[in-house]
Amino acid sequence: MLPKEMVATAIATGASTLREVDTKPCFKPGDEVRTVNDSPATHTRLPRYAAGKNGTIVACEGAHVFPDKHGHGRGECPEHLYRVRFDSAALWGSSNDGPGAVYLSLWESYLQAEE
Amino acid sequence: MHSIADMGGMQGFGPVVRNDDEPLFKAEWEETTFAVNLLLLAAGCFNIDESRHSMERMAPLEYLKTSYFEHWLHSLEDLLIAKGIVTREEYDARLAQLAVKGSDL
Repeated sequence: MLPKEMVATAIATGASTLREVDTKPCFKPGDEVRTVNDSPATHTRLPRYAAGKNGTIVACEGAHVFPDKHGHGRGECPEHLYRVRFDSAALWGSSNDGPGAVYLSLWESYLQAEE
Repeated sequence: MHSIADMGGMQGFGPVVRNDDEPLFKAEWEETTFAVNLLLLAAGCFNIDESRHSMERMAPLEYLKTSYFEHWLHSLEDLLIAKGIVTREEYDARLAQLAVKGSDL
């Protein structure tokens, strides 16, 4: 059982989803990528507004439990996770409200190389 | 899934009102819901991704009419029943029992 002295720490820090995997990351910072454009009826952490959009890898965040499988009782299936930068214009078109960007942490399955 | 919970980029909801003095919990039932949900996660009754998926499967109108911690409450009830930890009959019977107690107060 979790010692009662550790309860506050457990709640404050949560359970890490970081995992060790044998595979190397497919992408590196600076790579241009395009997100998949799909409409699964199952769980995904790729928001609709970011589907089928172009972005740039800014960081590799290690391999993490993959929610699309884990949310359906199909195991942790960890995958490499990347921080991806999307220009406002790429997401919102000409109605964007300025030269901003949105950063999303996205799993490798959501990404394709963009030449 | 492209559910009602996937609201990023949707328009018409008005500005996001930020209040730095907002209390963590607005009512005691919210604290209880938070605690019970964490205990169920720690006990391995379900995982956080199943919890998120349960919330995104809420009926759209119900999702919009209910608050943040009601979404938590929905998901933990939904998953306890889905996993057979509580049966639908036990859940319904308990709700009926509480409704009677509530009307006595």
